[in-house]
Amino acid sequence: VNKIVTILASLAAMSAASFAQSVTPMRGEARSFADSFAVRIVVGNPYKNKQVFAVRVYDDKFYPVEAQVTFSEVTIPAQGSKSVVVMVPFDGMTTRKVRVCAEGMFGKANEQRLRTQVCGKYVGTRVGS
Amino acid sequence: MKKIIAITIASMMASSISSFAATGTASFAGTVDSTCVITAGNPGRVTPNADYSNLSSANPGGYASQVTALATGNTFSLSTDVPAGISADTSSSSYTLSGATNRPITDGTSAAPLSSGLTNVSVDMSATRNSGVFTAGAYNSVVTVRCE
Repeated sequence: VNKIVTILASLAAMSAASFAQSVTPMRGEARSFADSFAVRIVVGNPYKNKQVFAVRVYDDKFYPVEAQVTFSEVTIPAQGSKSVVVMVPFDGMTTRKVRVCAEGMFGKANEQRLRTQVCGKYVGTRVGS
Repeated sequence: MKKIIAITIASMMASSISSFAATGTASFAGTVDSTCVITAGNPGRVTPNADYSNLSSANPGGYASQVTALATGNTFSLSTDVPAGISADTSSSSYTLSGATNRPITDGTSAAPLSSGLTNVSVDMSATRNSGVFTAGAYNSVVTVRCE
């Protein structure tokens, strides 16, 4: 296992108290000396009851990215929030743009269902290589 | 005389303390993150057209799904994906925005910039079969509403 050194940069400065907001921050840049970079987001639940959200990572063309997510599915109490860290591999690139999305599914099986998706856009830059 | 002087001094001190307290301040600071909150409202309903080749929320008896999008900045956009879950030759979604952002019916794949504030989103969907009909049964679809 490669030793991963990551710079969270400004992304780490987020407040865990940012409730009632689906994803914060929604823009960010990270610099890393290693083969991957980290993004920390806070997923918030604006609803009046607990909800389950999936955390998915996509590239800038919305193809899935194989990233490590601390909680790929999070259950968040009403008006609560939870911090999620995503490790994104550079996969040979020096700069990588990704979307990290919090996804919720709403509606009963016999209805027109909605998948709500709030996506932040993040850029990782590899330095020192 | 000493008594009068003492009372006067005490009175002045009390007055000074009182006026100092009256001009005191309490400071507050805070930040609002730039973000987007999507809240799902009432789900929609699709119904068939007269020849049963189309299922749509715009057909008689159907109605759109309701969502709100709250933006605290002006850098976000909203879009909807092609509906999934119903086998059809062509499927599409569309949306209409009102409130902080106003936009007439727009194809879902076209992203609309959101103004800061609360925007009401009506999401419609349609699925069409070029040949054959939608036979009797339950049809369920999923439309993704995205803010990014």
